Order: sequence, then structure tokens, then C-alpha cells
Amino acid sequence: MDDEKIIELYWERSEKAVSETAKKYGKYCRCIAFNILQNDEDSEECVNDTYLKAWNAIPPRHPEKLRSFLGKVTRNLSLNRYEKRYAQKRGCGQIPMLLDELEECIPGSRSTDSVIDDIALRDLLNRFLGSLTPKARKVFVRRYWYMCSVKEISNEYHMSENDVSVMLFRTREKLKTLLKKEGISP
Amino acid sequence: MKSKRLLNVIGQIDDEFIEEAASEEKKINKPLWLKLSAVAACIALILTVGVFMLHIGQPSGKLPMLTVGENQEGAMGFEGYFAHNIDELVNNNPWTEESEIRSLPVYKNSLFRYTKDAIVTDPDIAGMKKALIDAAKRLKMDTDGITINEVVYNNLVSSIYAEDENYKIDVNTWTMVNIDFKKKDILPDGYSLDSNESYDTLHKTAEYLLRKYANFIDMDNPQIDISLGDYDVYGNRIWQVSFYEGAGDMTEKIINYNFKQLSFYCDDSGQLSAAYSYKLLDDVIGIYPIISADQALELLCKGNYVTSVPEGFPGKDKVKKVELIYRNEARDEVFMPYYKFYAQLDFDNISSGSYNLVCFGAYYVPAVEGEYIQNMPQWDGSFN
Repeated sequence: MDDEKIIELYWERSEKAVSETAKKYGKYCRCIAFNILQNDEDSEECVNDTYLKAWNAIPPRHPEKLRSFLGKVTRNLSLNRYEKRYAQKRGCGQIPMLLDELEECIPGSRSTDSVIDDIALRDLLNRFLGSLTPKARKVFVRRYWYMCSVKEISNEYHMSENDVSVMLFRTREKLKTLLKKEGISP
Repeated sequence: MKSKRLLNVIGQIDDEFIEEAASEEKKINKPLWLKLSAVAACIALILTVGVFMLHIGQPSGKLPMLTVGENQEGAMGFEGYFAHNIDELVNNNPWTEESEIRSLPVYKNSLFRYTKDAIVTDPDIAGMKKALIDAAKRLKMDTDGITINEVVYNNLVSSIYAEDENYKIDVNTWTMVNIDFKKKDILPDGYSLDSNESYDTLHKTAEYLLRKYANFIDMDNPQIDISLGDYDVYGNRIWQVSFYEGAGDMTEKIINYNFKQLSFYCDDSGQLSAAYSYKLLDDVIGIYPIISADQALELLCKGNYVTSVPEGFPGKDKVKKVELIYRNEARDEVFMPYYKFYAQLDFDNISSGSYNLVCFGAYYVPAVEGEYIQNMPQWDGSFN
């Protein structure tokens, strides 16, 4: 079923909306949740919560891209759950590594640096992503949005793990340079 | 923690980036492109090298033997370059004599469809369509509702095309892909792709194209290749502006330089078009050991070369340059590496006296070790 029809079902308050969503995007959402939580049960619960959120949000919302809408909800829910359950246990899944990697992007604070709000930071990230080559951008998004492991990315893009790591490192360096240039502290 | 905030805000990036990365999940093999074989066609003095049919035998427990045989058809004229000196003939070939390349892959040309008359009687329509859809995706055309039209000539499909309000994509039976930018994609003032332009202007233009068409070019580490640099019969210097994928190790760079290259052109009004040759390199015959440039020079001196120059090799002291290249023309059955030697010619009928130019002829020596060449070419004095 195409996305527009699924969204229509939500607007009609038909419960079929949820089953069709699960059928089409269940696996997609589960992958995102599992990448973050590394736990089947928690992942399943997050995905179910995603359907509930979607049910409550549509209407009034009418997402242009249903898949990324659901993905964003799953990601947020999964990160929140991770925060509650695992924050104290370093070493679970990709998150600690990702945080370490992202820490490298953040330039040392200067007194003149401004702390910008989330919207401005998001806009800057969008601009930054738009400036990357498609491949570098996709690899970056796979790593820091989808939270995929380097190995998974290397398989998906037919690259060696080393090449993926080097590409990510260079992209992080570029982001760091941009943040420094703009005098921004996340 | 700042990195945690960054991770959260990354979650809010535009949907298009999320979609773009998600769609990759379905992607399997990314087709490689072949270098344009049409370079020679642009230049009166660069002519097709004789076509050599390679046949594959398979001794047990060894790499398949590659037999180089001559095909006398199709070659007219010869491959030569006019320049004041060899330094004027430039390109961005990643291979240098210092490159420590010990082995390289040899590929079967999976789209080889040529008859003895060099006519494609059995065009690979599916392959052509694949090439067209690949181009359409790069251009973000709507590929779901795309209409592919066939151009039929003498009851044979000669090309296919598809278009929307922005682009027209043509793919011919050689799987040469040509893209016309229908909207007013005209180069701004100060930029030009005129083949007679200065190197600096072309380089500046290439950088501009790289910025503007990054998605279409779609390379991780695009390298600008302003190549040729020789002169036409009117004394004008000729250049070609291309891009190739510079990511990866030296072997990958060499493969990409030879097989994944895209060129831009413009007409007199500055209207842009782009072209590349699309081939699949899925069929690797084997990874073959490669001789050194010095060893190849010895073979050259012994006459183990192929050329379209209407004279034999003029001697070691006339060799001015060597590079490693893949011969990958549509009519090659196999794509294998060669050392291409540029030797200074000195016969009268090709001199361009009024411009004080000399001619450098191209001589090719197979780069694969001789033990895998079943029939090492031996120059017999005949002109292809």
C-alpha cells in the first residue's frame, strides 16, 4: 500500500493504518530501534510505541515522508529508552562509540562561542550535509542517524571497514572545522 | 554532554537525507562506468587503434591465458599527438612509474556485441535501459513513470532515450550515455568548456561543475582530469574536461581513472551536456601479474607492441613518456592493461611545420606478464 493511502487510513481513524504501517515499515523501525538498544524486547516495545505515537500524531499531522517520520519517532523513543536503561552501562551497543566519535567534532569552547538552539544547529547540520558528496553524506547518516556499525556500513556500500572509518573521520573533521568557523558550541 | 545533544539534533535532519541513506538498503551492486572512448573521435589526429580480439583459454590451475590477436578492421589513420614537447601532453592518470603495482584485474566486456563488420546486430537493450535508468536516478528524474523510447534505424535499435523538462538522456548501442541539460544550464561568465580554452579556465570551470553537479557526478573523491593538451592542425591546443573517482588505493584509482570517468561539454552558446560510457565490470577474468614499465620498454624495443602509427617503433631514444592505461573501447572483448608509450615521430608527412610542432605516436605493450599472453603481438610492419 502506498504511503498516501496509509496516511488516509490514519485520518479515517481506521485501525488498519497501524497494521499497514507495521507491514510496510515494521522492519525499518525495528532496525533503528535495535541499532540503539541492542535488545529485541526493548526494540519491539519502542516500535509499538512508534505506532501509538503515529496514531496520536496523524491527524492532525500529515507527514510528507511517512518512512522518515516513523524513523524519527522510533529513533527518539529508542534514545530515550536507552538513556533511562543503559546510560550508566558503558559498552552497550553503538551509542557510547558514537558519542565518543561525535565528541571529536566539537571544537574546544572559546569564550566567544555561542550556544545555539536546536533549530539553528539542525539548520547548520542540514547545510553541512548538503555540502558533502552523496556517498560521504549517506555514510554519515547511516552512522549517526541510523546508528549502524562500521561493519554494516561497509557491507552496504561495498567499502572496506577502514575506508568507512576514514571517510567518517574526514567528515567529522569537516564538521568540526565548520563549527569552529561559525563559532558555535553545540 | 555536548555530543549527546549533537546526536539528538542529528535526529532532526531533513527527511531527504534520511530517505537517501535508507534507500541504500536496497542497493546491491553499483555499476562502474567506463571511460569515454569517444575522446579520439573529437580530434582529427587521434585515430582508433586497431581492434585486437582477445580469446580466452583456460589452462588448469592457472589464470586464463589471454591471446592477443590482431583484427585488421575498423582502423583508419593513426593515434598521434601534436605538441611542442612531451610535457604539453598532460592528464591526471594516477599511475606513475613509482606506483608499485604488481597485479591488476582483467575484465570480460560483458556488453560485447560486435560482429565482424563492427555493427551491433544484437543490441543489449536491457543493458542500455539499465544505463539510462542509472543516469535518470543520478539526475533525480522520476524513474517510476519514465518513458523509454527507441530509435530504430534499418530495422535495428540504434539508441534509446528518455526525457523530462530538465534533461534528455540518450544511450546508444555502445552504451554511451549522453545527457543534454535542457534548462538554461549555461556556464556563468568567466567559465568555459571550449576545448581550446586555457588550462586554468577549464580547471576553474571543472571546480564549478564539481560544486554544482556533485549529486550527478556522485563520486566520493572526484578528481579533475584536464587531459590531452595537444594541438589541432590549426595550432589550437585541445583539452578535455573529465572527472574520475579518486577514492581507494592505487589499484582502485587506476580502475576508476580508466572505467569511471565522466566528461562535460558545452556548445557555442555555453549550453551544457555530459557524457560517459557505461559498462559493467562484474566479470573479472582474473587478477594478473603486471610487468614493470622498464620490462615493457624492453618488449617495445623487441617489437612486441600494437599500434596504429603507420611506421614501426622509431627507437628507444625516441620514447618520451609512458603511462599505464586500460584499453576499454566498446569493441574490445576484454579490458586489460597496457603500457602506452609516446614516441617522437619524425617523418615529414605528419609534421605541422608552420606551428613548429612534433608528433608523438602511441605504442601499446600488454602490461600483463608474458606467460599469460598466448600470442604476444609482434609488429610485422603493416599498418592497421
